[in-house]
Amino acid sequence: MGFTMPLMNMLNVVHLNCSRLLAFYWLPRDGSTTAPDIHDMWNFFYVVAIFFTVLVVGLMLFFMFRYRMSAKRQKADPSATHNTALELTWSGIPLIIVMVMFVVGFKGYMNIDTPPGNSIDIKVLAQQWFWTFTYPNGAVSKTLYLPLNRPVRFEMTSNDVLHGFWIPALSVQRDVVPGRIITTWVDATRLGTFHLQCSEYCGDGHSRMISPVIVESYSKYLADIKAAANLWVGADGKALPLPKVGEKLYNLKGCSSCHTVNGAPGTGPTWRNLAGSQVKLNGGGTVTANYAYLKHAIMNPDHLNVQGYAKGVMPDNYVEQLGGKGKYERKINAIIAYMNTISKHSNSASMPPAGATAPATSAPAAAAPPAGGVPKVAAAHVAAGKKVAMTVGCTACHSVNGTPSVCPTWQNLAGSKVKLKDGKTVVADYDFLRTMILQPGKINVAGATMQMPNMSAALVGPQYHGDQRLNDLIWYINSLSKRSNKASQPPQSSLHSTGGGK
Amino acid sequence: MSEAVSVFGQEEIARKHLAHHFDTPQQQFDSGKLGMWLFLATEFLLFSGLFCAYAVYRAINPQIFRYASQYLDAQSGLINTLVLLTSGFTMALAVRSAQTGRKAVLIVSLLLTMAGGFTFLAIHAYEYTEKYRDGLLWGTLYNPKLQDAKPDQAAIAKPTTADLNAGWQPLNLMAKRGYAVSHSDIAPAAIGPAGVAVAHKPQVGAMVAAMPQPANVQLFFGIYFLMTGLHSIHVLVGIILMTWLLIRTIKNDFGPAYYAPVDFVGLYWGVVDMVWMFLFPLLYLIR
Amino acid sequence: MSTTTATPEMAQAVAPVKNYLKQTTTIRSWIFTLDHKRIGVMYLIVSLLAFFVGGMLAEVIRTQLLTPSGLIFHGGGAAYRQYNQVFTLHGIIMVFMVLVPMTPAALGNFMLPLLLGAKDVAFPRLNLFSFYLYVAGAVLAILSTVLGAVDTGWTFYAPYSIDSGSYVVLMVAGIFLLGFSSIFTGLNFIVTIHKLRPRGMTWFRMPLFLWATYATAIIQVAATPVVGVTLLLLIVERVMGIGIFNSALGGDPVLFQHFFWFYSHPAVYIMILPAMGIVTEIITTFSHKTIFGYKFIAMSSLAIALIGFLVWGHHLFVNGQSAELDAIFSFLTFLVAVPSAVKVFNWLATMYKGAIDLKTPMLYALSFIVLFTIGGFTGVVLGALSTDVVLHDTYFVVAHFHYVMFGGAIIAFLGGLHYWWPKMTGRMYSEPWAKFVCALLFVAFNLTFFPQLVVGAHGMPRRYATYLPEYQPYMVASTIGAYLQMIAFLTMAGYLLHSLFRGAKAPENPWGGTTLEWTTSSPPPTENFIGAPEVDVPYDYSLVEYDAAIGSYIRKEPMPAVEQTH
Repeated sequence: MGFTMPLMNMLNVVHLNCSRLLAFYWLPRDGSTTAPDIHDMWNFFYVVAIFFTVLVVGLMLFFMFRYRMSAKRQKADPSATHNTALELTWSGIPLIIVMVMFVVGFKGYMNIDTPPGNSIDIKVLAQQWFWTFTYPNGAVSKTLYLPLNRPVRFEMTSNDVLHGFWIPALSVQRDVVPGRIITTWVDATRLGTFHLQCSEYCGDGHSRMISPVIVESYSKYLADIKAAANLWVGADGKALPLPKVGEKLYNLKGCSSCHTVNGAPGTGPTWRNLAGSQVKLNGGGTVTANYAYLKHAIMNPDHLNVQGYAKGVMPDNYVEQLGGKGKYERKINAIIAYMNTISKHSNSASMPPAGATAPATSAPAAAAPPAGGVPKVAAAHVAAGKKVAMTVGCTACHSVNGTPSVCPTWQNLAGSKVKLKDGKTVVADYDFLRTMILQPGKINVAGATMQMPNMSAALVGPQYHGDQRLNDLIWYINSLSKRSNKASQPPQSSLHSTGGGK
Repeated sequence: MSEAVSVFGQEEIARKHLAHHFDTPQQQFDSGKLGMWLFLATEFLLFSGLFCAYAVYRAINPQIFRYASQYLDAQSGLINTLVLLTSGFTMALAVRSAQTGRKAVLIVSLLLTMAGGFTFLAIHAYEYTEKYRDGLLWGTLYNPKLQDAKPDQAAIAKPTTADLNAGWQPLNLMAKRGYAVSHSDIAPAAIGPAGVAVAHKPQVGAMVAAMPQPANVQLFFGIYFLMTGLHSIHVLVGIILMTWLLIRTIKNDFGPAYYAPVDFVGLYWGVVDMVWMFLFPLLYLIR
Repeated sequence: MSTTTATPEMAQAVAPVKNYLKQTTTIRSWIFTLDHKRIGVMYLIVSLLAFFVGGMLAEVIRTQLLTPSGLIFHGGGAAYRQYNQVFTLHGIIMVFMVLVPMTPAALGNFMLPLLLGAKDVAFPRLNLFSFYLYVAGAVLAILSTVLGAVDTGWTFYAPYSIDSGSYVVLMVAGIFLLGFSSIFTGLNFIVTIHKLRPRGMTWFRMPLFLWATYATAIIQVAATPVVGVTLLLLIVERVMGIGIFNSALGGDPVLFQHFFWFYSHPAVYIMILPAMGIVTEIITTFSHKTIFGYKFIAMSSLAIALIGFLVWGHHLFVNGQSAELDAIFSFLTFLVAVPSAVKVFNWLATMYKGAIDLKTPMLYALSFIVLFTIGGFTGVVLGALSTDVVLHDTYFVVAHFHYVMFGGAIIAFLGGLHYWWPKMTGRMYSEPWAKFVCALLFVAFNLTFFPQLVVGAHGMPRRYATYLPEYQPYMVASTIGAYLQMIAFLTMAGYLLHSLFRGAKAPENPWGGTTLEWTTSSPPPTENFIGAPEVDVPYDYSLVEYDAAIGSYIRKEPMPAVEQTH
């Protein structure tokens, strides 16, 4: 397109000299390395648009008055009814201009579409109606921390419907599609606090699905995500008081998407002045929101009977979400301690028991060291598998601690001998576990009272990086067994595709 | 056509059916025919959405289509194809006999066409019940009772590495475009060197042992039921239209001067046939 | 001299034959009418009612957005859901019940046979049937709204439309019927234009409104079935859980978007092409000058219709579509801008050296040129890949499509309504009031939507019930504009109703038009023309001249040798 170069050069000069200011009236200031390309395109467009709009409207107004009908002017002047050369000219010029626009726009877009190789990876999970960011060190936060002048790549997916990842100040936008992993990237060049706004309509809370975005120096970024990685420790490395931990949990576990803390109404009751207050029940009567009540409410939301709020809205898996048996109690205490700090009705009965309020010394975020023969390198997979087991619902039937249940316990299952209906015995090796999970109808285990559902749709497929989800789950099952061995573990090749980080 | 009007002295019939805004019966007939062709084009476009969904999902997940299509009964499909082709012939005969004014032949060929339509629907109903019995349904209802399914032994092909890799196409594309993609290269259990699946081979049928069930098989059955279901509805509408034609024929409405409705229903039936000619190979034959 | 030629014609046209409004007067004669004019009037009434409802919903939206936390619906999820239902309903009504049927089905039905010189459309019964399909679709939509309004947005994007706990199935079924109504109208028009042209009406003698309608009809017939099957799939998805668009069952929600826009983008041209046709007719008539570049205007309509089919992917630039596809769709999107530009230049060339009569329809046509130019350019910047990344799904998009759909399609429709009002009703309206409303509407429109362009470029996403406080000044300006628009429309309703009952009798040809509809009486008789209409080259303004005695233009005796300007 050689002939377009002079035109482009000319327009470049024009936009550099006079339209920068005008452009900034429209688009936000450059906030990332891709923004200048977008601004260039915008400026080019702007000059062309202004020129042609002035031309068209100017001619129109001129003709309107120059050739206006009047007593003296009743008839049109004779003039040509067509002129092919003229038609071709005014078809050709717009054609050339839009083709130049296409090339400029496409070049800018290719830069936007191609992430650089040395980027920091941040995982983005969108769900109704909040964002969760997972950093390379495993930290999880509701605030997006971005280091200045470092390329960051986002691996995004959605838990439910479409969402839109949109940070106007950094000129980055991409839809987040459930069932797909969508990537985009940004290299921020401007310090400050901005907004990530959901741009694809996602239901009731769409307009509240806004997260703060903090662009800060690399060292500050590292400190922030380090602090975010440990629930119990603050940015200064010192143990946090329990209410502060509760506040973190309030933001991390999605409580904040339904419960406000400033007294404003929400999908759920506000936490402002809740602890220690009288809660009105359906059908009259009240109950005091003391410690026991609040704890019960978090653990068994379906038992709630609060006036003005429907049942079944609040998820009933908070015990699992807070780390499951042995872990959740302290976190619930932290949340209730936080509720007490924002309630004027707070009293000793609504506070967690005295022992619980002491600052925690340490609390490892990952699971206990893998048992049996599971290698240390698989720890991230074990943790990921545990999450899978809870989200998919395995733990609804299978216990992990040997407790008998409708289905076989997972404790010491991997690597053990399993009796089949036809009297044969097989070893629960990797293939067995895999077949059992993906094609449960194929194996008839002796003593089984119910058919296990086919889990393949929830575990394997391109949206889960192939087998990774399944293998994580099998790693987890192995970690629960002292009989775990090479044959019962997923192949070593599954280890490099980690879920948690490098 | 215009000669036909004068030769058989059926001008009166032609005039009777001429709407006020047309100048000649010929103009009216031509308008009707153009309108019918346009309508049939929209019918094709209605199906095109489903063909498009088929193509997209087949391109992304060839393993699903490869695996699931063996559960379709190609024999019933073939019989249905022959039935529809025959009914297409009798329909053409009906149009011809309406043009030439042979009322008895017209009635018989309409009846035969309707019989073809009913046979087609009956065979389809049989196929649907089989699928229902085997739990080979769409979406969340998919709950295969593989022991009961009778796969076509001859058609079983061992999957190649290429097949299995093909399943990862979206990821491969992502990898090509510079995204880090992690995917497992473990062979699925059933074709692995050892494992429970092999031990239980006789119990679950050779087919399953030869080809592991991929994820999301329900997608194929969703598309199968949608496409054949929409087509069957069209067959049903065709039968209703023919009933209407039959009544009008008995009332002596049609003759060489006026047979447009028979002609148009004939065109419609042709399109119903044609859509099936695409559905049959796409769903039943291509593996 | 000229009066002597006119009087016998007028006497012959008016005296013995009753016009289509007076021929029969029972309600039954309207409900079961096969007359394209009456069906057109019924379409007009229903779509204007729908426009009123949609407009009121727009006022609710604008009132809500006066304050950052929302003036009407505030506090939390349930309140925002109501807001979401309001903008969803606004979109559905305006797109499927107003824009798609208004110009093609209402004005098109009335004017197409008249401009063509035919007695009716090819299939009058099908025409009536499609009107009742339209009504049935609207009834289903109302039913769904009454039972539990839909909150999915007018685009019904999966998987939200699969999960949403509202009456989506009823609404979608209603739109399915509206779609088939549109298909049958298009089919009817294509056959009419092909087969019912009278002797002498060759393809290149057709008025340009017919070319535009023909291009529109092609889109209606070829694109609407696809949205039909898409909506059918959505119904099946919700009722049976088939999983085609549900990622939880292995389906792909992005496929829904492709299907949906394969119709809905061409549908934009269903709305804008007849609008362009109207503007073409108005500009040549009120410039009293032959249209410039007839063939280029006619062919640009077809070009827009055909290229318009290939650009739907530009709605998915940031939706995870591959960069290769993005590039192709961006390229084609730019191409479709060219024929639109050609039309604008031809209109300007038609005005050049004309005798421009600034009557109300002409003012609307000129407003159209201004607003459509802005709408078109904002469309171009959205079609450019890099800028789309920062403008996608923001208020910039909202403002852009309002400039095109409202500033384009509706403004041109209003121009057409004023242009053909004397012909349709046999009455004149108050010219000063009409001019005032047109000017007010132009100002109010820009006050409403220009701030939205700015705030969108600043980054405000669309479909927000609440917003960041920094956007408030723009939102307030926009709301004031919306209120002014309401005043303009209510005033318009006032003077049009006044005209209907008290307006002066309209002459046969009040504007000096040269197309066939101006050769029959106002309003026309049921049969449209007394005897076969004489068809000549269109837009020959030497054939008409003003007769002050009857306040109308009259047709001069055709000259034996017409001196054509070439």
